[in-house]
Amino acid sequence: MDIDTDIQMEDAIDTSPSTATSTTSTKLTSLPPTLSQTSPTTQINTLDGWIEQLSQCKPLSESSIKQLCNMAIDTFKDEQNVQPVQVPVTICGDIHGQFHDLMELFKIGGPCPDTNYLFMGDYVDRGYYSVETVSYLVCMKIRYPKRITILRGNHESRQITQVYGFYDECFRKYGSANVWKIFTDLFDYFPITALVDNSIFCLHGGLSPMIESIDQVRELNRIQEVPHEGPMCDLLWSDPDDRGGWGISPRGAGFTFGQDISEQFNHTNGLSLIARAHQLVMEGYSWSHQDLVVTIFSAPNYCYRCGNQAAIMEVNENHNRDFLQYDPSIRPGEPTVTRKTPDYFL
Amino acid sequence: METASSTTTSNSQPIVDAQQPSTEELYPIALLMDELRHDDVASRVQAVKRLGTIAIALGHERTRNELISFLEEVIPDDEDEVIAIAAEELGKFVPYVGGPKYATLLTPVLEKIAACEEPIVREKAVDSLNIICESLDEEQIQHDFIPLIHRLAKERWFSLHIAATGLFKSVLIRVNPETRLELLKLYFELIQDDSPMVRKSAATHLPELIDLLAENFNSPDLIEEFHWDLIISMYETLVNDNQDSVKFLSIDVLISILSFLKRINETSRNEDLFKSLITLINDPSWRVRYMVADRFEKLVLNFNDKTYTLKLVPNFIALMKDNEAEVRKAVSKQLPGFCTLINEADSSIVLNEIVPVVSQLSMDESETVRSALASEVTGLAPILGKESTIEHLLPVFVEMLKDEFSEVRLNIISNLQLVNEVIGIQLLSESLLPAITALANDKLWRVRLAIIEQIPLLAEQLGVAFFDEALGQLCMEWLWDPVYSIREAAVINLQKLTEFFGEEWCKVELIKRILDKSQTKEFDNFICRITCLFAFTKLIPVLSPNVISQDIYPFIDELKDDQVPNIRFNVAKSLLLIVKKLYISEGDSSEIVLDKIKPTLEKMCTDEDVDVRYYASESLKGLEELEKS
Amino acid sequence: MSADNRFSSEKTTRDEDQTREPIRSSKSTLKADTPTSSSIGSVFVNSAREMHQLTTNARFPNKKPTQSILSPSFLSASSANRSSNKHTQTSSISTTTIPSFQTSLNKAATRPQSTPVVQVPAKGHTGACNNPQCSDCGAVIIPSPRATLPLQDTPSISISDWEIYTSRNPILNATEIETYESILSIPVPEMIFGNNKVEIKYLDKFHINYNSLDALKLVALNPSDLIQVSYANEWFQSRQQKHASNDEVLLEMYRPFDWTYSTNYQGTLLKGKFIRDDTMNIPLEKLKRQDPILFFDDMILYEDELGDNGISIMNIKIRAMHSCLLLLQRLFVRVDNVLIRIYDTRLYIDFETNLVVREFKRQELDYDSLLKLCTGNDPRSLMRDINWCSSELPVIDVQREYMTI
Repeated sequence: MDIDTDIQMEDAIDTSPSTATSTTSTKLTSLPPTLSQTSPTTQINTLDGWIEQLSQCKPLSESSIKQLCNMAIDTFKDEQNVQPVQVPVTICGDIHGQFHDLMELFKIGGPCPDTNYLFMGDYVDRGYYSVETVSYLVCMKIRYPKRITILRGNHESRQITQVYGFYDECFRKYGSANVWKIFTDLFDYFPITALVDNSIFCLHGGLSPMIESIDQVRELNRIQEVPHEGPMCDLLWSDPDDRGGWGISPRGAGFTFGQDISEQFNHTNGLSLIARAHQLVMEGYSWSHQDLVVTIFSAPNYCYRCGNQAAIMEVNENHNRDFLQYDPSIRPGEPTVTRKTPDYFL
Repeated sequence: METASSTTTSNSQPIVDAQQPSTEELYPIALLMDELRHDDVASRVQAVKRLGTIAIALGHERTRNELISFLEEVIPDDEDEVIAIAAEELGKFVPYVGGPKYATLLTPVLEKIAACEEPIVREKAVDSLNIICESLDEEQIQHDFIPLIHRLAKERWFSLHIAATGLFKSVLIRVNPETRLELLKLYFELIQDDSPMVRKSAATHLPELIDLLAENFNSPDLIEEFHWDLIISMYETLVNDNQDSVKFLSIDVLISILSFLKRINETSRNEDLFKSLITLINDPSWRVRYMVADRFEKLVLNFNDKTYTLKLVPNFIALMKDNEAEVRKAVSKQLPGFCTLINEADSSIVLNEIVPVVSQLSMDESETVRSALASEVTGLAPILGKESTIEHLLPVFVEMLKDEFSEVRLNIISNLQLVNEVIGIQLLSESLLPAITALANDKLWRVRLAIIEQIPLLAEQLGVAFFDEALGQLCMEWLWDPVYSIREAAVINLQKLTEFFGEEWCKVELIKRILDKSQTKEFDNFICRITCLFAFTKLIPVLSPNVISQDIYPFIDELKDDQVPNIRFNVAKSLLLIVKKLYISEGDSSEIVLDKIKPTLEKMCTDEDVDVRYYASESLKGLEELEKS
Repeated sequence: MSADNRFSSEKTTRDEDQTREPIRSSKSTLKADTPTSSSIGSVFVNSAREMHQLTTNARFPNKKPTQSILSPSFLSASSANRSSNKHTQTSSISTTTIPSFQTSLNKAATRPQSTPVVQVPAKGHTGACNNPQCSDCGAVIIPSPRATLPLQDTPSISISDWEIYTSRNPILNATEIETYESILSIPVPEMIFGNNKVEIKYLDKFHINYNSLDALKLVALNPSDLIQVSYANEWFQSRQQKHASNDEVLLEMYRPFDWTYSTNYQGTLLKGKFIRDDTMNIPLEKLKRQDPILFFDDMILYEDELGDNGISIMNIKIRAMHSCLLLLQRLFVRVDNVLIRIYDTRLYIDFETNLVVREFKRQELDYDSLLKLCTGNDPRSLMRDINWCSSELPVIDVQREYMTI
């Protein structure tokens, strides 16, 4: 691997845990020439090296993450709020740090770049390998920008990741919050929706009462933290409901949308389907609103305890859709604990 | 570099790219010493891993005077993970302190570490002590190491007793007879320790000690040094231990004792030992019975006496009927081995006594037992011979091929080679086919995968005619499986079949069928097209240039303008394989390369899709390199 | 294919007396994987692995489950009573992750003089039973779920005439959810383990059952004090402005319900009658005694992430010793920046006197007040620690009742 020796030095310093958080970050900002400025071949080799390392569930170093995210910003900032995607494509839902199950997904659907993928967000939190999962997907994105599309989920946000695990995981694996910060800064650039061949509208959550046409999504300023309210929030948060019209969650925030809303939206925009993720379903996928909306969930045995199946949806060039369901991956050789530990709770 | 990236789970250590070179030399020694006092465990772990480097930098004297005493002071109070690594590193320290002369300086710190309750840490300390012991001379052993063992064994702390049990092997042979007797007596005490953990550890290490004694003192003049009475007392103590987790370890001890007796051709003790074995076989604890079942063949081999082999038949059968599934499973694994031994003693027993029980086991309520049996039962065919196999075993195979659990079927199919050698598998084919078809359509894709992997072997045994008729269609169908991994395996399978059945067969049975497929409506589907492309690509290395230029190349070439970029860049990749193949063979086919493939790749280098351009240019580069050479 | 899991287990056993030091050995597994700093994380990782293993086994029934070492066997009481090792109580170097259980089994716990008849599975058990028992000391029987397809386990035990059954299964499928929602007329929690249950019986005199359907039936519909997420007002007001002109967007809540799924559920009593007596205490001293645990289970009835606004989780733990059992059903609700709430139901049964005591305790505090009690550099992580919350939250009320059979 022909990387500048400067970068290796930087790496070595980073790995020295005695380096205080603050000094590390200042050092990193003054990093010598980044890879994005080096030749394309070098960049491809570096990325292939990273992908190889990550595919074995070995996380990258902090400085590599920094380089990776710098490159990624270049890629993502040119993408649109409604990123156009060509068929054939395989559409996937929540992953939530279940790295080994993501590898299983590729075994089922075929490896990227031979198969095109569209992920609808929620790569981090909950599972134990959020860092590896999101690093892997971002690497693939930069290496094969035309072959893989990754959207933003409601978990790709600073606030949510602090509560649901990604922050803690970064801290545990890197000894500081730097990597968490680098990634959450990158998340702001992720596109929020995708349009598959002008026919399938893909997004993490659902519709918004402030969005009647897809063009309105195009006008949003997406490069920001996911707001607490407004159209961008709704697109990442809302859920379809059996009840018609717009509903408010009893929680006091967040919308639900009924079949009439989906019908209107699909009609207005000439769509055949809304594909979204965001909700756990036992079968891995679930139709609602008389096949106008499909929910896809790609984390099998969610949180390692739900026993649910996962699914992905293959859309071919004739717009035929096939669902593939799958179970958690087998990890031979992984240490197992054979008994539940009883405790003297009171 | 030994860093976190070498293990997926050592999360808390700083993460470093695998490809980064060693940075050890960048660390000033002072920093390392500092890091050993660092608050963060991960830093200390990293620092301890580099202890060797520090020691080299410090030199022998300072390592002896400063580093060792420093470690002695800080390490035993540290976290387990730090101690464990320190213990391991210290085992390599003899050269760093100035050679064997000073090696005993290392033992005090390791002795302290050995007191640790954490097994991993303790084991590392014991291992390192044993390594250090190798470099000690007799004087040092007598003066330092033996007292160390005594201290550990006498201290009132179970962890130290366990540590002690691991150290005897290093010195037992190297000391004088007097000390040896003393050591064995001490070991006997450990065998009778209050703590079951210590007894277990002692029992675990005992076979190794017996083997050492047997290795060194098997001649008549030295036989006393084996200390038979002590050894046999230890064995008896273990056999009568009231903890089954200790008791079951006595079976390995018995094997070691029997092996010694076999070596010195001594048979007078066999009867007593046989009796003790019978008690163990009938032990109320299944774990003890399991251990016997698991070691059955070994035990019989070491008795080395046909009388006992025959005497054990009823016990073997009893274990096959044990009410604990684990025992039945373990004993199933011993079937071919033990049956071979019985057959040498009496050729009627296997058929008359064992096979009926095998039939019962093949219908065992536990699928894991049936599965274990399925992987071994075919091994009985060579023992029984052709006629008996057909008459008695074939029905069992047929039954097991219909088992409701796929693993049972798979195990039979995976082990058919032995049957084939005895009776040929034609006799089984009637049952085989439905079993394979059922597995081929199993709802679990990993089961489908497993059966595909058996196909080349089956094809070899079944012969081409039968294969074509029965399995040819199936092999094609896997290509259209919804799961990618199955399609991938199916493609590899086609390659293997071609290697076996030859090119003509491939042309008729595979290439033609795939070309037929390309005329159907399914070919409109991207997955179908790319699978056909993968299949043809995979065949390139095993076909002749002639077939490649006539059949393979035109098909691949047609896909170069496919609307899906993924197909196009895979065409670019395939073209390079064709080029390579045609270049090696030279001949008249090189015109395709220069006249057609090169322009195609050049054109693809201007494709609208970035990945097509990338792979086309990579292939073109490959082609040009070939041209040069 | 025929990898002998048993054997690897045996190997571990040889390395260390697993049963006498169960935590030590599981800890060593932990250590090898996740050293340092995050003891809680390690525990989670561990249980995740365990669950993963189960699911995998569930989906691939032909694979040998790794609990093989725990398969049926019953050791004589004499070996169980074997005098325990006195050394193991003290620990020189220790970074224990699960403190309370650490030395418990080594402490040669006091045993009741008359040993009750213990039977596994329970007398009334039908179908397969995979209860493993401690194969070593015979004193501890821990139901480790052996999964079949789909992920499920139904361990049980009888102690004298008391029968305990538990059942663990995957979340409900779409059809089952439909049934539930038609009964409950509220959306079910995101993770609804509707087929999980704990059941305790004593002849025809006592019968109690814990399940999620009955628990959810007590979730308030249209509650007067509907809890709202912290930014609800802000959200609502801005929406009001934006949608003022749009008739389609009705800013009204449709059939509001207590979306935190708080419930006063204390179990479904099918036989027997409790007498209210708030002075009737559960004998903590007896429960603190670390008698061997014959039966232990831990399961979730339901869990909801509250749309990533916190968590609501209903969990049940049960442990049965020779002389008594304790069941703890705990509802933990955290609405971020709003409140923390714990509703505990404890059921204590004394096998020697046939006394049953049930205690229902409610604790609650607003989020900010609890946050003020947090120390350390990541205070919010404490807010996710249910045990810590339970120790800090003020008690709102406690009810106790009992019955003697």
